[in-house]
Amino acid sequence: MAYIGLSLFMFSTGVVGVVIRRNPIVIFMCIELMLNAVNLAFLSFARYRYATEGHSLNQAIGGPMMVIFVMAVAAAEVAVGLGIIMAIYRLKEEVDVDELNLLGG
Amino acid sequence: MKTLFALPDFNWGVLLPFLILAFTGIFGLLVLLVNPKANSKVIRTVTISGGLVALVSQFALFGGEYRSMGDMVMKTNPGMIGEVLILISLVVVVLISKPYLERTASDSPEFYPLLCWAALGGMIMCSSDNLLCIFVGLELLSISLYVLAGLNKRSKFSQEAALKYFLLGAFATGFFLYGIAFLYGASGNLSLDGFSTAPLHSGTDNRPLFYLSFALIMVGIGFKCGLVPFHQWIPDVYSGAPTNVVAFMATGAKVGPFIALYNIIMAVPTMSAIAVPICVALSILSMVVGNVMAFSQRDVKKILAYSSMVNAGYMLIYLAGLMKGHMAGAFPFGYFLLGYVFATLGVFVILAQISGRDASPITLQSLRGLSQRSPGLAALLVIFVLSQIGIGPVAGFVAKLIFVNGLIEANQSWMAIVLLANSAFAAFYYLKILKAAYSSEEEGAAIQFENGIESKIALAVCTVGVVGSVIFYSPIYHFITAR
Repeated sequence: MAYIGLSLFMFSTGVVGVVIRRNPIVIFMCIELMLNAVNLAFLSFARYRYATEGHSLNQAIGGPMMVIFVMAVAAAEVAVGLGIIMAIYRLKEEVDVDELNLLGG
Repeated sequence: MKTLFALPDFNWGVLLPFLILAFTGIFGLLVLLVNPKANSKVIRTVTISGGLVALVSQFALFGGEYRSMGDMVMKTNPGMIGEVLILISLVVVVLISKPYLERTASDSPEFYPLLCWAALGGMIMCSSDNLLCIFVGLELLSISLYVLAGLNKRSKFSQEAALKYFLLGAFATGFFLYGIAFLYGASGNLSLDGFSTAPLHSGTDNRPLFYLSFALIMVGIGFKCGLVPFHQWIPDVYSGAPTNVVAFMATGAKVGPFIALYNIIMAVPTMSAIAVPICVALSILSMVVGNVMAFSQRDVKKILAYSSMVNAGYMLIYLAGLMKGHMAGAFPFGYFLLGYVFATLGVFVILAQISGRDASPITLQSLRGLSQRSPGLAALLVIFVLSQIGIGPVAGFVAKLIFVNGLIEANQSWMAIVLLANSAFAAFYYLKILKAAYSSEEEGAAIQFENGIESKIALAVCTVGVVGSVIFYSPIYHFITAR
């Protein structure tokens, strides 16, 4: 269960990073860290079920499958996210979430 | 013959609406690949016809419950109502997009395939109780919408909306996934049924895992549904993104998360001791915060954003009541969504017609004089806004009536009172929209609006939806719930 502890630590690091950092690219890296924590949690749970609870491989396969989907989706998110950040940079020559206050929110 | 693994039962007829929509989007991109100079007319026509064909194939499925692909796809109510609503809002948004995109000079043909896939993502969310499927649907929906929010490449508002939506959306996805991971750890599978095994494990120590998992999943879904306190993105994104995209975001893109919310809440009655207080707290917060914030707004799209939070609150408190009373309420929930989608879509169709060339936020000020310029448009606005308030012979009224009725049947009268009190308060700011539309225009600020055939069809669809669903209440009821 040490892996779950590591995953929790990665996840909370990611959350804290998103909250305190101001650069969208760094925020984005922290989000990726959160997703990797999720992957680690899935795999360690799958391993735990397979090894100790006597689940068959078929029953435990859900977790590893989910990891593949998460990786694919994260890749798609990277592509879109960097595209959006590039578009803003072209428009404003600056990317800082504190400067993005046109919408007053 | 011995195969490596048992092939799941592919029920192709059930998958047809998804396949049509997916290939419509791919076809649109192929047209662009073959002929990059192609104008968006072909793609638009293909998208509309694809949406309509998918709608027909979806209607053919009513009157039964289906499962396909080894229980990954599940077609039941209110998911099927939700899918119809998503397809209708897709078609309506495509109709109003042509004049709007041409006016704001941001007409890129990629818009239409992306919209198709966003709709597809919402439909996938509607029709599964497997969290893997719900996650893939959610991401298909969200990633398409991130791009769509930043569609207008020259507008700072649009780009800022896209970045905010993207960062907060990806953040919420992280929580959602972590919730799924804990559910998987506690129950050993990815199905929402996993929640109902919670009491079986009450002897062991994984009860906290179920609670944590439920809370994290609610963060993720609550973000997409726009529940307070996960609502910060909604006003900004609604206000900054192109109006036609917001029209879809507020309707079609909300349906999927709401149905997923319904499926999740219906799957957790065994943990109602903890789930009911969470849901009640979230819904009351959404209603109160949404109402209070909307009250002082001058930006029409922001008012509608806060109103969408209030509506999310109504739906969640109804679900909480159902969970507490151990009742099922598929049809009322679907009907409320129907009223919400048509009324909101109608308002946004009108806003898209009057919004200006520069894609800046639409204020109450810019609605002034609508009744003088176009009495018909103003009258339709009255119908849609009344449906949002819930007065008169419109869908919003009937939907609230059956919600209140359901809550009273579930012995949760105080929830019904909270709902009614909030909808009475909400009337104030809705009426401000009408007041602006019916006050005289200012000197030199003549309101501009376009009045093409597409917008007329779109408005007709919304009006028929809002009024027709009351007139044909019992045929709709029998059609949908027939077995």
